[in-house]
Amino acid sequence: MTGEAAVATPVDPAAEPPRCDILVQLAGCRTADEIREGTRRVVDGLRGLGDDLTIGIACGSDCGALSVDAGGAAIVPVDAAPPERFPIVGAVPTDAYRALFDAGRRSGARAMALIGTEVDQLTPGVARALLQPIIADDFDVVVPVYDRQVYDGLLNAAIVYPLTRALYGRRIPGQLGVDFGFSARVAERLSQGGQNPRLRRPVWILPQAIADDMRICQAVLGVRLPAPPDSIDLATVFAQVLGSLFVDMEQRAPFWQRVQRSQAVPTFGTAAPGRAPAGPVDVRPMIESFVNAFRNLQRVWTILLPPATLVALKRLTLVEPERFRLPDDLWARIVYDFALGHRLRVINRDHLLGALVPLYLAWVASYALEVQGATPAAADVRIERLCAAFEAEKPYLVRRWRWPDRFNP
Amino acid sequence: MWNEVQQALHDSTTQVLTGLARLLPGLLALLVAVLLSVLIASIVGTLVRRALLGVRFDEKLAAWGTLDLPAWSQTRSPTLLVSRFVSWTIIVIGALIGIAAFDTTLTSSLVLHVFGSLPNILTALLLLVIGHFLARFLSRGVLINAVNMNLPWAGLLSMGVRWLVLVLTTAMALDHVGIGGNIVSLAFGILFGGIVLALALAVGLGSKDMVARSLEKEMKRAPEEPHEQPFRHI
Repeated sequence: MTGEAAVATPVDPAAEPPRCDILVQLAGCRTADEIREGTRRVVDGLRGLGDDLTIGIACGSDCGALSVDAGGAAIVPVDAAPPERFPIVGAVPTDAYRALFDAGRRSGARAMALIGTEVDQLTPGVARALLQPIIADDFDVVVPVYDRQVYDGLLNAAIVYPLTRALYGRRIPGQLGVDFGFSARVAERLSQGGQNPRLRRPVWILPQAIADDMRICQAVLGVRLPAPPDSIDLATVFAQVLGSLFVDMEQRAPFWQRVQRSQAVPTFGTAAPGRAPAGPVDVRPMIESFVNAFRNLQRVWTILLPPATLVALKRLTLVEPERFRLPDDLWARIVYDFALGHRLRVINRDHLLGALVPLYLAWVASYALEVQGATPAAADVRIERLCAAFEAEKPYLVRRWRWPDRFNP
Repeated sequence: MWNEVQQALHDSTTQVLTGLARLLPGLLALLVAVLLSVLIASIVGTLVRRALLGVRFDEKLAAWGTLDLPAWSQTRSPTLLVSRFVSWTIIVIGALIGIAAFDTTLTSSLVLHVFGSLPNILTALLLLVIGHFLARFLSRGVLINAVNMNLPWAGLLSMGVRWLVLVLTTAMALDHVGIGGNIVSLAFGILFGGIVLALALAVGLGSKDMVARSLEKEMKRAPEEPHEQPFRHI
């Protein structure tokens, strides 16, 4: 790596990108000042990984016109949309992951990183943590581990992590992060989306990497996962995240039906000691929302859920708010039944995912009541128990997936 | 006198029997045409269903994604829909051919009339079918969204939307086949307006207390720092 700072010259986005060993996309930096500062921190973080490594910094298509002090790095203009909050390769060329893979492949990069953490949290250590396992240890995918607080990433904790862990057999909780490291092998596999028929539909990167037997690890970043936008609508999030996850799950059914147990992946770095325990929260609005949904959504849930589950939910509507608990095995079966309903298209898919929202809020209320006053470490133990329930109930999913018409009490 | 009466009775009996004898071949032809058309319809329907199952028509239609028929109608598969449509078309054509075999001015004009108004009837039926599915689809969407917004009158709102769509499409169908004339438009206007008014009153009266409480809370509330929502869903 060249140690001297240099002012990058504008590069034509249509031209072939300069050759580099590492390509970093600063998706969390938008203005010229942010790109300049982000570039400086990335270059600082990668110093020492190797003496002769060249670095490319990928930013928006107009960043080539910026006069950025790239600190020895080359600026690569990449026409990319902001990344989604889940690692998925879309079919459009401006999809952030696909754009990075395309640029990485064309520039001959050995390692790539998509950094969505904004410049106020971005430290040199983030870039180093994401890229070192690829350069030094030959890993293919580096998944972030954030400083998680008890009520962070609840959709991930409730559905995405337990479901993907039970399906694909890898314990990777950071799937809904915004910072990832990738090897050239991943770029080679996933960059040719237009020619690959499998990429015409959503392809979640991690399940694909597991199916391709790539080497996956986690890296502790030492930062907190950025907050979602305030105007977030849960039904939209469900449609984007769970809709694509269920479609992906449908396509990989022959693979995940063979997976039986989960295993941990290597983790680099040590997580910071737990923060202050979570304070009490008011979960009554969520419970009221669930009870209201039970009164009104009966005829929709009846299509999706078996009678025993409906009876258990009815019992739940009658308990005192302080004793409100959604059992893990029941929640796992609910998620599996919705995944099956999504596959069979028993009702419109957006309606199906919308009908899951009140049940999810019931889970959040139950979880919040259980972990109030607990440390993040204790909350992680609670999530671990939920994951174990998803794994234990997996035969139920496999059975229903293979024989959906069989009687299910 | 008696002879003349006897002659008249004989003549009319002969006329009735002659008419019946003339009608019988036509009836037989109608029966044969209907039976044949049912036979052909069942054979062609089965062939069409098997062919569509063979090419995995349902899955392909689902894979195209744009036409989400199974989601709109949970009990009928597109394959079943197409094969039944083909079968019924053959049966109707067979019946019409059978009726035409009477070869009388009356039946010919009946056939002409039926064929003439067939497009209108089919369009009206199509409108009713579309209205049925649309009402179910929209009412379910409204119900789920209203529940997710935690509205207590979600069920009422959903039912209102369902009946609005059903009334609208029924009025359109009746208007299309020319039944009822102005009465349909008038009745539709009254019903539609009635449903909207009923919904507005129900929602308005139902939310009166809520709005009052909300305004009261807003007026009493001292300016405070917005507290951070502890839950982060993603």
